[in-house]
Amino acid sequence: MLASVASDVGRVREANEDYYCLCQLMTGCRPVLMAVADGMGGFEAGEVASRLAVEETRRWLEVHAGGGEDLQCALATACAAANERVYRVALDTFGYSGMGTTLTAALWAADRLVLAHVGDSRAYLVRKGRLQRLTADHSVVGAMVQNGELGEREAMRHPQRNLLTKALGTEPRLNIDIAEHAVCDGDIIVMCTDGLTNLVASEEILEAINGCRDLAGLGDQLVEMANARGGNDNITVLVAGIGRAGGGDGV
Amino acid sequence: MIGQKLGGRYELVAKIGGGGMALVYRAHDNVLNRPVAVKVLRPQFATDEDFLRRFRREAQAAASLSHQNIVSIYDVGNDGDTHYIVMELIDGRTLKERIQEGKPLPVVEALDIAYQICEALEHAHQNRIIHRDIKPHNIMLTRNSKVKVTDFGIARAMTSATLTHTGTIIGSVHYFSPEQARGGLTGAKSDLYSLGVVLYEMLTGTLPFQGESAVTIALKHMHERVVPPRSLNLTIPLDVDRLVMRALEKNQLERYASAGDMMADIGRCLAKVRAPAGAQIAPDPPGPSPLPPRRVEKSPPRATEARARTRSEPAPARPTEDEDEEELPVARRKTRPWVAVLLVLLVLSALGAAGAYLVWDWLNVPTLEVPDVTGMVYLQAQHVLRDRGLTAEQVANRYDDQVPANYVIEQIPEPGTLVRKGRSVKLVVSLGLPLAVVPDLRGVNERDANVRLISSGLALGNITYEYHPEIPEGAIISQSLPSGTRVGTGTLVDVRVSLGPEARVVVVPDFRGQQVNEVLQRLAGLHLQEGEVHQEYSDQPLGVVTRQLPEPGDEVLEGTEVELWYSKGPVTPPNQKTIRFLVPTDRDNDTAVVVEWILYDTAGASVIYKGVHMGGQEVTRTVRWYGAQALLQIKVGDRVWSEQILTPTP
Repeated sequence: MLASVASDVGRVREANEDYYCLCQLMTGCRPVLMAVADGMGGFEAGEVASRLAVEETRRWLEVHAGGGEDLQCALATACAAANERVYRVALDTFGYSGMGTTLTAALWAADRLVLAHVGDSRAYLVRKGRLQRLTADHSVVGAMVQNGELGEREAMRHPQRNLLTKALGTEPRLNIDIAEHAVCDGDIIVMCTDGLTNLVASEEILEAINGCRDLAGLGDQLVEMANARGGNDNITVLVAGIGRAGGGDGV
Repeated sequence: MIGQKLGGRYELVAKIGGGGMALVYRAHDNVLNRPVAVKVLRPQFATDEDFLRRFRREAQAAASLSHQNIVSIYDVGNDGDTHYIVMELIDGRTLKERIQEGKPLPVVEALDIAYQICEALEHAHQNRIIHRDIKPHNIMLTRNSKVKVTDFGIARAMTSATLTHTGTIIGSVHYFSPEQARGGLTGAKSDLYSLGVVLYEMLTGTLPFQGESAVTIALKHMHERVVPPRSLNLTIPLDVDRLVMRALEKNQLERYASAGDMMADIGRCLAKVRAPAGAQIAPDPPGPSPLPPRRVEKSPPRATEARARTRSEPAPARPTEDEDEEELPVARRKTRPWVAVLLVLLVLSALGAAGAYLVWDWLNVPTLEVPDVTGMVYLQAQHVLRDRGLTAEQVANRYDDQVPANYVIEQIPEPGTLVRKGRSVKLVVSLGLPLAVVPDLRGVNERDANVRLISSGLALGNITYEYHPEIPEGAIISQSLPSGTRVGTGTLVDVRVSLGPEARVVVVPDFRGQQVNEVLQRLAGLHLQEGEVHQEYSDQPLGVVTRQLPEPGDEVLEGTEVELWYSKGPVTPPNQKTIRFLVPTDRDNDTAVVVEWILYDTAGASVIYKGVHMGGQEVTRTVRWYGAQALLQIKVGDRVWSEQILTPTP
């Protein structure tokens, strides 16, 4: 596996409320966990929410996902646990009320990719030079795009594009999107927060990937693109190449 | 001694060998009229009565053994001072000579020899005879690859006294079991250990332990770990490696329980190694397709040839085949020219026959089944294929995380396919685990270490946390594998993560009774910080510390703030009044508010009460003030809610 992650505060914000994780779990079938989260809520709360959501998901998987077979169930439960944790902390801690976060998390093992998703961060799959979006935005604008009322470019400029219909940690119980995809050698997974997708269109992401010889620099390259266009939000990009051989040594 | 007749019966013909203890002669038994071997004890032993008695007893016991893998003892006797043993004469050489040819023996040959030694040992052990001196010098290989073990029990006759001046001990100590080296009780399992050493030597061409003196070697047998034979010779299969290591266990309990046990295991390994070759013999008559009689005739010798080949190099079997080929043309040449016409006709027909034969031969190259060589070491696969008349061709190498390096991963054609003899089998050979380069993790945090490791095909292993004076909290101090190292993918890299500089604990001294200014100056030196400083009336002299927080003797972290109160002189009895305050209710917002009471009197301003309350709650406090009048200000949140002048009640 070849992967890169870049997370940048952007050009406008003062703090980075995005959080990410890319690690191999040592339990069960030893899947790789990839996650990005975009926190919301003023004064540190956004940072706390995104971090809490990702770390709680990871912690839950590390402690409980020993069985390994049922990746979908494991990831769904982990996200539910993370939701409850963020919700509790928001409720119990002065100043954190109302905080929440997006969470797009994937578990990859062999040829399976299980994806959990809440909010407007995104996951894409690039296979044989073609881009496929794996997640639907849980936002007002996202719903409009899905209904065909808006195009992607228009959505990127829509003033209400930040209004989420669903976020992790804002309700005690949450319906999380869970999906499983078959992956194979050579596939590339891209996960990112809206700091990228509001400024860089999906076909541009694909172009960057197709024109890129080294995945290791891709994260930074995409972040630079977003920053060059104003960087009005935090930008986090996680790119992972699916493959058995590591370190570019594979045959 | 040549020409001498021992016991009036055994005529010594020639010296054929000798050890530290005896000389061996080829002799002729004049009574039974057969060739025998006679072992004559060296004269220095012939004077040791004690030794002679034991020597004879052991030889007689050994004579009771009758087994195809044990050199038979025919007679034990003496002719005057010449003591001798008469034995079966073996036409062959010792295993020592075979090993000294150089190169390690092929695995199959080594296992076959060990198997036969085991058979001999099993028989002896069942008859309660322990060999005690198993070594290649005592193992004979006959011309037809039969193993014969000799000198059963003789070692026992030797005492430590006799051993010292023989020199044989130097050779034997290499094969000594730890218990023998220690001088402890020896038993059947000691023989199995020695056999393990012999097998080790056959497989690797070297001895498990080397040393300058017998003592060093003996000590090594007792204490040092054996280098697994497979690490010296990659063609040794894992099972065989395990077998040898088990025989070489220092603890007798860990070794094979018996020679039979070990024999069974060797047999299993042998079957595994031979499996491809054995499978070749079975499908020899390939169905009803008629083969020319010439070839059918040849198949029986081929079966024996396959057997012979497993024991020695493939070479010796080949010449017979070539001789066969040679004979035919010779026979044809015998056709004598009677008449010219006849000759021409004959030549023509011969040519035609030869041509027809050639075409026929070309069309009928024997087909054979491709053996399964996947999972074998490449060298072994090469052998197996060559033995079958196929050639191995290494067409590719590939990293593989399942198959270790040098093992065959894939083959084309697949096993079981029928192909012509001589065809090449393409092999894909493993390069082992794909290698990954360990990235530099120092200074990065745990999360980014994960990213870097995954990108390199590795993963994060154990994390230990520790204090570090320079490296900031959360950053990695060091990693278990240095950056730049090439390791197999999936390797776990352990890291040590800094907890930052160690937080040291300070015991807070008692500042009470000291001047506040002096105390404040001392705080920095004590690694404590200045906190809030308050004044209060007290009986203490002016400027003296009256109270402190944390209290004296408390253990606190470095840098903790210390709050101090100091005296502003003696007290005059204060005026006092009880004040009630109803916390106002906010119409829109039912949240808690901070209520603060501030008293302005002759002592200055001081917060006398601070608390969080819900609207509607009542706060009652007795307020004490100095001087005639005081002002009480009550704040709710940031707003001053009320102010009242306090005067003493009459």
